[in-house]
Amino acid sequence: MRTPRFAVSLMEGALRGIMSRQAAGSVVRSVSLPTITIPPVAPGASELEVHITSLMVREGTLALGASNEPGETVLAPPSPHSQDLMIRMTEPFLERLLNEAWDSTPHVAEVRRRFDVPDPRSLLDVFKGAMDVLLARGLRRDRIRVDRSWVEADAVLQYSCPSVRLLEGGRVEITACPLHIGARLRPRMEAATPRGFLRWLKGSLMPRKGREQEEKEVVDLADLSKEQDLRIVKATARLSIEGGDLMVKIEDVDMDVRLDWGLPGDVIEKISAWIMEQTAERFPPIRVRLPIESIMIPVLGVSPVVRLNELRGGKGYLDVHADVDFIEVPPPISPLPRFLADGQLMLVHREGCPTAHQVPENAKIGYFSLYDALHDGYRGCPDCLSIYRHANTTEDGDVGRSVERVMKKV
Amino acid sequence: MDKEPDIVISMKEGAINRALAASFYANQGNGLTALLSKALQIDGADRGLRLLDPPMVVMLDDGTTVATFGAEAWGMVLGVRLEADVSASARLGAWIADDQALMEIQDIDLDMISSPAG
Repeated sequence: MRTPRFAVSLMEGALRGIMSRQAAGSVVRSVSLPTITIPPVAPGASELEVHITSLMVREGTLALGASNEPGETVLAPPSPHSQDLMIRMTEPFLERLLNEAWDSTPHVAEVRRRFDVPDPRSLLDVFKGAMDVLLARGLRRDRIRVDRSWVEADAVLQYSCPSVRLLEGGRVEITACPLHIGARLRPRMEAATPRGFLRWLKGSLMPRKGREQEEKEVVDLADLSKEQDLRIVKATARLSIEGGDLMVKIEDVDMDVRLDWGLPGDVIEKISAWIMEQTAERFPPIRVRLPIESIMIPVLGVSPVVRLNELRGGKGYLDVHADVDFIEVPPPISPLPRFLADGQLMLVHREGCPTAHQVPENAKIGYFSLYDALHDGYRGCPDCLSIYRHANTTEDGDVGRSVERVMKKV
Repeated sequence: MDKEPDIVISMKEGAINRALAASFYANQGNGLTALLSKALQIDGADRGLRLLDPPMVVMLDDGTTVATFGAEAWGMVLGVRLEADVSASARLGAWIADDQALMEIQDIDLDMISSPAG
């Protein structure tokens, strides 16, 4: 039974009376707060549960404060923003996200380089035993000529989880990042030696054009394996948005490199500079898949499509600005279709049909033409298009033949 | 010392209204209907509420929110089911205390959408 209009007026009056301050005061209702589940920020990371802890309404804006731990928090009015959404993350929260993402980031980099040593004597001074190898072949020291010498270095840089501090302008400072270096160092030299008697004889019997009178030999002076723990004292990184993810990329590194690897001083200096350069260059970029991309809004049960636009930050916080869209809300259309199809029951209604409002919202399909609706397989609603209630175009997709069959039955 | 939240999510009312509409068109606003029914205490076995169109909210500079929604409300009175399609506009205050969201209905306006004749 429909409620008469006067009853609604009475109901309104009664509600206003109840809520008037002269009566029992305004009506206050309490609702338990849902938790927000933040999907993993990186493959293999775990979900995070955050609790809504504060709420603030400002002109045109709603702000919610959320924390890992339940309990009330104090929300400062958020700065105005032009985009749909602004998410402010505190430094500890961002660090937590970065730590989660770090676990799935490759931490190891392998690097290789050859360092020329212009003065081979510096190597021979360090690796005295190397000369003994040549002398043991019966050669006289004054008959060996060293053409060039170098050190081949292979190093494995293993980074550990950094601590981060947010700076102004979307930058972060990385501190206390342990670094382990495992290196293999091979000092080598190319020495020219006069040919021995047998080789001289062979060369004389089978002369070849341009054959050298000397033989060159690469001599390994040593094969060293070194391990060393270092620490990145301070590094700065830039935060950016790449492909919808938050990226942290190192820009410069300040570290103390003291290598006690038993090589000549100038070689150690070169290797130290190289390690510093490689540490900055190979520092793995941390990719944080921001959870807002796939978050489900509690109560409403919908997931927005989030487009990250901009990062802004200050000391101790990072602001992520984004626009949101909902695929469930298409752009406005005009004119409105006059036929409403029910995608679940496969019925088409006239606009204004009393049963049309029972069609679930997510099953509604608007048609401007009844012909098109029938062509797509919809049957007529028994209330408003009863003549087509047995229409069936699923066999041949031919509306004309379907209507013909219907008319014959009528 | 007052504790600050780990994250602050600030949403413009335009985005909130699109989210409300999305909820209505995706799942009939089931979660929202349950919330409204509970807040208005019409969630019993002898009474109920169904949203007819997407709700709209406007955030005012005094910290209150005006919510407007069309709903079909029904209730059993002396064994007779009475129902009405109404358009309601409520001025609400909202805050959080003791892990609960509290909503104060400060004012309400009701309009009849359909007459007994339909």
